[in-house]
Amino acid sequence: MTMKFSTFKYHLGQGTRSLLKNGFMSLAAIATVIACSFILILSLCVCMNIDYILRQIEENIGITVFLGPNVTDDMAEEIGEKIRSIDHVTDAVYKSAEDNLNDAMNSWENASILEGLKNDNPLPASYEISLDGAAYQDQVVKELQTLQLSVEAELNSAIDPDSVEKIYLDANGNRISEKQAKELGIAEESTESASQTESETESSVQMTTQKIISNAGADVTAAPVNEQAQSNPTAEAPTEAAADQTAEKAAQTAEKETQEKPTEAVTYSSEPSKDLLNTLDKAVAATAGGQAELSGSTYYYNEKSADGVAGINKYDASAYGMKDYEYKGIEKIRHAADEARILVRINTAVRIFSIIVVIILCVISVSIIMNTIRLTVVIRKNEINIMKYVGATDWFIRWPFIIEGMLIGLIGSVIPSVLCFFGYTECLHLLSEKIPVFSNIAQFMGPVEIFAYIAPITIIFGILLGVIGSVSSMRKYLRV
Amino acid sequence: MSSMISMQNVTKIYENGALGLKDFSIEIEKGEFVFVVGSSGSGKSTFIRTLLKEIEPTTGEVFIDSTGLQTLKRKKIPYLRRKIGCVFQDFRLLPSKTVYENVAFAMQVIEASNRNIRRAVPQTLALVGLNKKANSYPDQLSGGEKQRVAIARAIINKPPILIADEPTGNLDPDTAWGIMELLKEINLRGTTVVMATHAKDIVNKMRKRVIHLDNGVLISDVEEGGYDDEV
Repeated sequence: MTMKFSTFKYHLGQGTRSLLKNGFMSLAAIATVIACSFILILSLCVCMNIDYILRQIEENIGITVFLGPNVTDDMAEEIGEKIRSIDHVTDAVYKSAEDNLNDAMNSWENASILEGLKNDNPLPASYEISLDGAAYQDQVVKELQTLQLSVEAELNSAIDPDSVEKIYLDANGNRISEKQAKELGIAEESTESASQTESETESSVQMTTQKIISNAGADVTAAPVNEQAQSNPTAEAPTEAAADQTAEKAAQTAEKETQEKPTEAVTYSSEPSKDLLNTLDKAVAATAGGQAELSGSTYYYNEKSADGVAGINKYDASAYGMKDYEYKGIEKIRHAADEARILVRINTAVRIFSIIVVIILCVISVSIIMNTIRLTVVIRKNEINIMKYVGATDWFIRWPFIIEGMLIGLIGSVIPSVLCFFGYTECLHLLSEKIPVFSNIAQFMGPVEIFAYIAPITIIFGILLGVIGSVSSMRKYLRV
Repeated sequence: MSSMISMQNVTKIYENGALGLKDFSIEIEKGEFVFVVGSSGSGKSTFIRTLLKEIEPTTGEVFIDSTGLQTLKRKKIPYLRRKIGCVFQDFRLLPSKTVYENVAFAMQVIEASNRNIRRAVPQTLALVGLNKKANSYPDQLSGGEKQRVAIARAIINKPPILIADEPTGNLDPDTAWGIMELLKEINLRGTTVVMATHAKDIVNKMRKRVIHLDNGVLISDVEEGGYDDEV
């Protein structure tokens, strides 16, 4: 539909002239569009602000993923990448244990209480995950749980059970040989674990607690032991034969349960360490990447065994008299799916309501504009008739009416847009002045920010109303 | 089919059952001047409206300048009408426009350039003898002058066919003759003219081809005929 410039000028002139000539009807139509645009702007203001506030709340109820205490920086980064690649995740901000402690200190009034933790930070590192909508919480949490399992499985499968290293520590945290450990009588003192063997044969997830009483009873708190067997060639890595023996021993141990025979720290290392050291406080058998939380002379660990991994580790665990535990890349996922669901519901309700309001408004405005323009069409019926005889195309006849409708829509939507812009600015101003508390509860959209959306929507809405009204009102008269 | 206008076995029955045309066939060559005569309701208007594709024939075929109207799409109708200039008994001028604007209007509608409009309108007004009235409004003109404006508007786009539906119906005999002279002049310049009329004296004096309709049936078609000629 190419149009010559002279033709366009002709249409523009015709449309404007018709608008001016039917002054009263045009004014009525413009007034209707003003009324409708006004209501449209008001409902848009309300809806957009509710949406805006809800989004602020949404941002505050994001997901936090806590990493295991012994996750290395590389692993953390890898996990971060995986989190970011999940759909609807807009960002995942890494927070180290130190960051979290600082945050905690900043948010507490008595920050000094936490001062003492600076050297021994109990807080885990974490990822703060933001989403592009609260509606996706459930979905993302599910993805994260899958990720949690896959990271775990991946890391655990990398562990070679034969290369498991056993480390014995004395009261000062120094390493000693298992022979010494035996001599020092740790084995005899640690008996409870024997009872574990049977329950471990069930491959399901188990939580077990073991307690080893040290002979020293010293109040030593040791940092988690992280030792990779592969990176420690001097360690007492059992040979394959030794492992087999370990297995046999484990079986025996199970039988001897009732006799309360010592089962702990019985090792079959082919290369006993020659180190001679002081009194023994703890005996720690750490698996690769394993984690042990040492607290005083007592230590606990949890085991969550996965298929296969549990089967392999079972022997080691019983042989060493310790439960083997698995690596945890992601310790915990904290989310607020329920809160998010409520927010999403409110949001949907608001949107549906505003859509209904706007649809009703559209119907009203279109019918009024149709009537107005139909009048001008009737007035110009003869002209249309003559145009048809002279060979005018339908579009040529329509254009002046469309332009008339567009002008009605344009004037009718620009006026309330401008008025509402100043009105909204004034309202915000008054609100912050008279009720200053309000700004603490909710932040409203700025006038420029909100009208950058509302003004174009309203003007397009007005023009569309005008065009639809004019085109539909003259259809009948084009059939000549 | 080289005829300018060709109708073959056209029958038109209106929705209310009235008969417009019955098995009507005719050929009108380029450059002819044809009178269509008959009493009211004889089918003259049906004939003209069918040519303009204002109405569809119930059966039969119509060709204008070798274009079949029965297969012509609605969108193409404006282009058909640009081939046919129309003059009516009631002039159908726009009262809000001057003589010049009324004539120029026909050119604006077909999206002619302003330059062409400025050149063609005075020429055409001169042809119909109204160049001094260019800035008058229709209600300031006599009946004959109004009809001249209508004719100027009808021929300004140089259509090959000019259809005049009782153009002299509202005019006194002297003025009517002036219009007839004008139509004859236009015909001499190569335009095919089809004129529906009841004006016996005009038909008799012009000695042109006469097509006589009665109740939608062609009763006579005579070269250089008179109004009452029988076959």
